[in-house]
Amino acid sequence: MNDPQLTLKDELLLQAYLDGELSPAEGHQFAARLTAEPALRAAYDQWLSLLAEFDGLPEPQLTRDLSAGVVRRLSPQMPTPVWRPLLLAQATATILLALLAWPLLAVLTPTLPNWTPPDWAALMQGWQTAAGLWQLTLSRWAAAWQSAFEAQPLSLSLLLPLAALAAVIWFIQVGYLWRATPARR
Amino acid sequence: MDSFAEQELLAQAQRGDRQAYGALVGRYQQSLFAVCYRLLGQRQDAEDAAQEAFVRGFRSLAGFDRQRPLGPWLRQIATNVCYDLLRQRPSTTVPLLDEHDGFDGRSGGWRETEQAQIVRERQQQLWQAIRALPPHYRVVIEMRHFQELSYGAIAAQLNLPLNTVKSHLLRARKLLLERLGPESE
Repeated sequence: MNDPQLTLKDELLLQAYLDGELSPAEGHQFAARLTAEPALRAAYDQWLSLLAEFDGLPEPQLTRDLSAGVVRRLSPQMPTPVWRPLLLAQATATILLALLAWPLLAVLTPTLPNWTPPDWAALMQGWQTAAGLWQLTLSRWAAAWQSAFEAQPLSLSLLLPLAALAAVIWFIQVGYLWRATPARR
Repeated sequence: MDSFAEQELLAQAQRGDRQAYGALVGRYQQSLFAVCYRLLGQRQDAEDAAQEAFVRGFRSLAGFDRQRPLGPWLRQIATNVCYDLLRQRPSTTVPLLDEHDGFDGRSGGWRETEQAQIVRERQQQLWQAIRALPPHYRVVIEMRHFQELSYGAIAAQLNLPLNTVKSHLLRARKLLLERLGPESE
């Protein structure tokens, strides 16, 4: 609705006057014009009536509490459920791999601190035994495990590679969890 | 919650205490929801936007000057979130009023006087007219009339020249006046 009797400049001045955006001097000057110019006064009354209607508007009411949802969104994000079984499977596979590889590691790993070259015949035998483990029965695997243990008792030289393997897997998992957790701020 | 308690919660929240921030959310959620609802016009959208504003607020809280009032700062974030959403929407739609707009509860049923009914209907018309405004006009109406920001503050927040803000406000009000028509006595 353009008032044909008002220039754009006067319209903007009128808005600024209504919004209290004029300086005191400008305000006094404009107030004087309002008493002297009927068209300006009529426009002023019309706008004043509109602006007064804003004051009576009720505020929209929130009907549920948002705080719990906000706090939940701020909490560090855990891995999504689809990844949890995969992580569990990975951990289980690590343990199984370590157990299955025992005969191989038992002959491959030298006894510290006196390094001796691996016994290649025993290594091949270990491989065959290990390969057979996948096909034969659990009892065969247990027998191989027992004979390997008798050949090379548990020692630091065996634990070290296992510990290194576990450390690598642990770092991979921590890296995943780190990436899955969003920045807090 | 008095000012001292709020300052204490704010200090805790700035140190990363999510529960303390949750208490602040409880205090300001109504006003942020009202901002979002007036701008977006839909309850679910408004709740989501208010939550998003609170989350962004928490992430920026470390740099917040505690000498400033928290409410206007959070409402500023909410306004920006909603304005971004409005600009992404393909077209402006005018949702229907819902029962929590504040009008339903104000109706006095058979006891409501004719004058009160007229006022209520006029308020509903104003609501719908505001919701029908284009986003860039709606946001200046929200900031000027409901958040009572100065022209300069609106310009700074929206990153617009001061004259553009004045022009938007004038055009928005003219559109409202056109759609509402003169108030019946």
